Amino acid sequence: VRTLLIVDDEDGVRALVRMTLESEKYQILEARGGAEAISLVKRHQPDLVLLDVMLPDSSGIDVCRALKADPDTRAATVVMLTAKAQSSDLEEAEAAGADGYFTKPFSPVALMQRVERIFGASI
Amino acid sequence: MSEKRDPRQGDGAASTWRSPGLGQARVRRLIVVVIVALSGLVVLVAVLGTEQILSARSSLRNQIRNGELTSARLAASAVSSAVSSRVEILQNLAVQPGSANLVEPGQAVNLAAALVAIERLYPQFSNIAVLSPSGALLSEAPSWPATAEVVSTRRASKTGVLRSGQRYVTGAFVQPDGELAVTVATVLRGADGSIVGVLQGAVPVSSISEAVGGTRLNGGAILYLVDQHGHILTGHGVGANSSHSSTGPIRRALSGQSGTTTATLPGLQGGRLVAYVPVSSLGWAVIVENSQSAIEGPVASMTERLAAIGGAVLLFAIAAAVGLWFLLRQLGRQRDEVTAIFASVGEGVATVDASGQVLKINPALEQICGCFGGSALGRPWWETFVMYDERGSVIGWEETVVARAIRTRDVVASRGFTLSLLTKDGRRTPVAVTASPLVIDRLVPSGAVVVVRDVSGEREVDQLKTSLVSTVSHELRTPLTLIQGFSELLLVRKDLDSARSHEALAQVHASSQRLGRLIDDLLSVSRIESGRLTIEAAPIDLKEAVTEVVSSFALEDDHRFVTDIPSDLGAVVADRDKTVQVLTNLLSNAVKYSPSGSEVRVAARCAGNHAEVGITDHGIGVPTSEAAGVFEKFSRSDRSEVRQVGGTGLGLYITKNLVELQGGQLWMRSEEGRGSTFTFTLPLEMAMAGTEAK
Repeated sequence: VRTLLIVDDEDGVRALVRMTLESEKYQILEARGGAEAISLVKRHQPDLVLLDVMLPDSSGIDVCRALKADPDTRAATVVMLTAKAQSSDLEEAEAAGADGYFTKPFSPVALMQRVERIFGASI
Repeated sequence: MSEKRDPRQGDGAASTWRSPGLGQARVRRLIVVVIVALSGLVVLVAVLGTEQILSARSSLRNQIRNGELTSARLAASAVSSAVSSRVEILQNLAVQPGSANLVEPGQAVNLAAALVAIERLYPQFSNIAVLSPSGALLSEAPSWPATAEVVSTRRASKTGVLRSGQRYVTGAFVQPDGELAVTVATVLRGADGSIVGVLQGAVPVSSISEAVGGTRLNGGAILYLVDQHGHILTGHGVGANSSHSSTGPIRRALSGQSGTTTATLPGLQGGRLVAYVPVSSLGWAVIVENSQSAIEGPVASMTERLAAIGGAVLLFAIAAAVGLWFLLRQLGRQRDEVTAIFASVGEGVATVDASGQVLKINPALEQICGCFGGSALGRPWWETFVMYDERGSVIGWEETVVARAIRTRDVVASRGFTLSLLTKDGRRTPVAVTASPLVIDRLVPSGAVVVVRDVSGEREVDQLKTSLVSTVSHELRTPLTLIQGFSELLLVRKDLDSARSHEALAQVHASSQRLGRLIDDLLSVSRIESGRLTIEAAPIDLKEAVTEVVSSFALEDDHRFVTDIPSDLGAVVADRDKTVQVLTNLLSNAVKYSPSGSEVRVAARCAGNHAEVGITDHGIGVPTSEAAGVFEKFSRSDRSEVRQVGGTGLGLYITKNLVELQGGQLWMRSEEGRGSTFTFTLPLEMAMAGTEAK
C-alpha cells in the first residue's frame, strides 16, 4: 500500500483527488496548508506528495524546497499541482527539487495514470 | 495629489524658468535703446546741419568778400595804370627836346596848336594847361572859365608837382561843364635842368571809371573809387564836396591797408560785405561792397536741402524704430509663447545637449525630481536624474534612454512601468521616459528633448491588473477544475456508488454557483466603475428584507442567527434587490469568517434620517493594519484564516458602492480574534418625505 499526501487549501480539490485515487492500493492523507503538510510527511513518510503552489500559509514551492532539504523527508516524490502554467513557475518548481508538475484543471484519469506511472517507475 | 509644491520653491522655479527667455521687459528695454539711439541720430543730423549752414554762411561770406577783394585789387591796378598812362603822356611831352620852349611867351600860339593836337591825340584829357612855376596860367586848351574850383585845383596841382619834382595827381574837382575830374601834372625843365613850368591835364573821372568797367563783379556788388580826400568818384554818393575819409574801410584803405570787413557804409542800409584796397600810386582807394542778403539765397537753398535730408533721416529713424518695435514684440511674443508652452506642459520636459548636460527643465519635471530653483541646469543628466531598472540597479549613462536617443538619432522610450527615478528626498518614483533627438542644425546633433512622466498611477494599475489576473485566474480555475474533474469521474468511473455520485454532482453544482457569483461580482465592479449601475429606489420594508435574507442563511448554515429590529422602524427608500445583495454579502462574510455555531447578530435602529443596520459576528476580526484596505478592490488579507476561505476581494468593495449609491454609508468596527461589526445606513422614507415637503 502506497501512501499519498494531497496538499491543497480547496476542499473540493482534495475531494476530487481522493475520489480519483481511492482504492485499496493507496492510503490517502490530506493537508490544507504547508506547515500541516510538512508535519504529515515527517510522521507518515508518504511515497508521493501532490503539492498545490498557492497555499494559504506559504508557497508550495517553499514547502517543496523544505521537504527536499530535510534528509527525513527527501525521499518523497513531490509533484506540484498548480493553476499556474507559466514557464517561470515551472523552472522555480524544478529548482526547488520538485519531481514533476500537474496543471489545473486536470483530468482525473490522466492524474490516475500519472500516479500509477510514478509508482510503477519507483518499484 | 494634495501635496502641492512649496510656494517658495515654486516661485524660484518660475523665476529661473523665465530668465532665459526674451521677456516683454527686455523687448521694451531694447526698444527704448533703439529709439534713444535714433533720436540721437536725428539730433546729430540737426546739429551737424545747423553747423553746416553756419559754416556755409561764413564760408560764403568769406568767398564773397574774397571775390570783392580780388575785384577791388584788379580795379585798383586798372585805375592806377589808367591814371599813370595819362601822367606818362604828359611826362613824354615834357621830355621832348624843346619842350621847355613851351613856356616862352613867343611860343604861345605854337603851344596852343600843340595842345590842340595833343587834345586831339589824347581825348582822355578834358583840358591841358601850362603854368609858370609861380602859378600863372601861361596857356590852356580848350579855354576854360577860371572858376574857383578850376583855379584852386590848378594851384594845388602846381604846388604838389613842384614838391614832388616829378608828377602829381589831385583829388576830384568839378569841371566847368559840371563833370567830376582830377588833375595830373608834371614839370617842364630848361636846358640847365631847372624847373621852368608845370604841364597840367584834367582827366574826367568817367574816363578813369571806364578802366575799371571791365572788372568783373559778383551779382549786386558795387565798386567805389575814392580819392585821397575821401571823395567818392564812382558808386553811391559821388561828389567832391563830402569827404568819407572817416568811414572805417575807406580810412584804412587810404592809409595803405587792404582787407575785407563787414561794415555800414554812408547812404546804405544795413551791414555790407566790404573789401578795400589802396591805389597806392595815387593815394586813392577802391572799395567793393555787397549787401549781406547776397548770401541768403544760396544759404536758404542749402538749408532747404539739409532740412529735407534731416526730415528723411527722421522719417527713416521713426520707421525703423516702429518696424523694430513690431519685430521685437513679435519675436518676444513667440519666445514667450514657446517658453510658456514649455513651462505649462503637464509632463516633465527637459532638454540636454549632445554631451548630456541639462539645458532646460520645466516646472513639471522639477516637481517630479524635486530639484527646484534651476539646480539641475548645466549638470550632467546622469547626476541629476539617477534611474533604476526593475532589479533596482542604477542605469549607466550609455544605457539611458537619453544617451541612446542622442546616439541613434531616433526616438527612444522606456518600456513598461519598471523604471524608477531617485528624487531629491530619496524616494524612487516610477517614471516613463521618452527621448527624442533634438535637431537644430541638420548636420550636428544638438542633444535631446526628454519627456519624463510620473507613472506611479499606471504602475499601481499595472500591479492591480496583475493581482486581478492572478486572483481571477485562481478563482476561475478552481471551480473549473472541480467541474471538469467530477464530471469526468461521473462519466468515466462506472464503479461510483450513489453516495459518491451525489457528492460529485454536488461539487459540480457548488462550483458552477461559485463561477456564477464570480462573474456577477466582476460585472458589478465593471458597472460600478463605468457608472452604469442603476438604482431603482422605492420605499421598502427593511425588516422584511432582513428576515428574508437571514432565513435563507439559517436554512443552509449552522450559525446562530439573531435579529433585533424594532417594529416601528418604518420603510427605507432603497433598491430592494441591491439591499438584499448588501445584506447577503455582509452575512456571507460574517458566516465565512466566524466559527460554526457562533452567533451572527443583525440589529437595526433609527439614527436621525437614516436606518442603521449592523451585522456582528464573533469571528477572526480584522487587524488594525488591514482595516483601512478592507473596502478596496481585490484587497485580500494574507492571513491564512482568510485565505483558507475563498474570495475575490471584491465583495466589500461592491457592497460599499451599493450602499453609497443608495445614499447610505458603510463602515466597520473590528477587533482581531474577537469579531467584527459591519454597519450600513439607508435613508428613511419619513425623512425623505419631510425633506421634500420643505
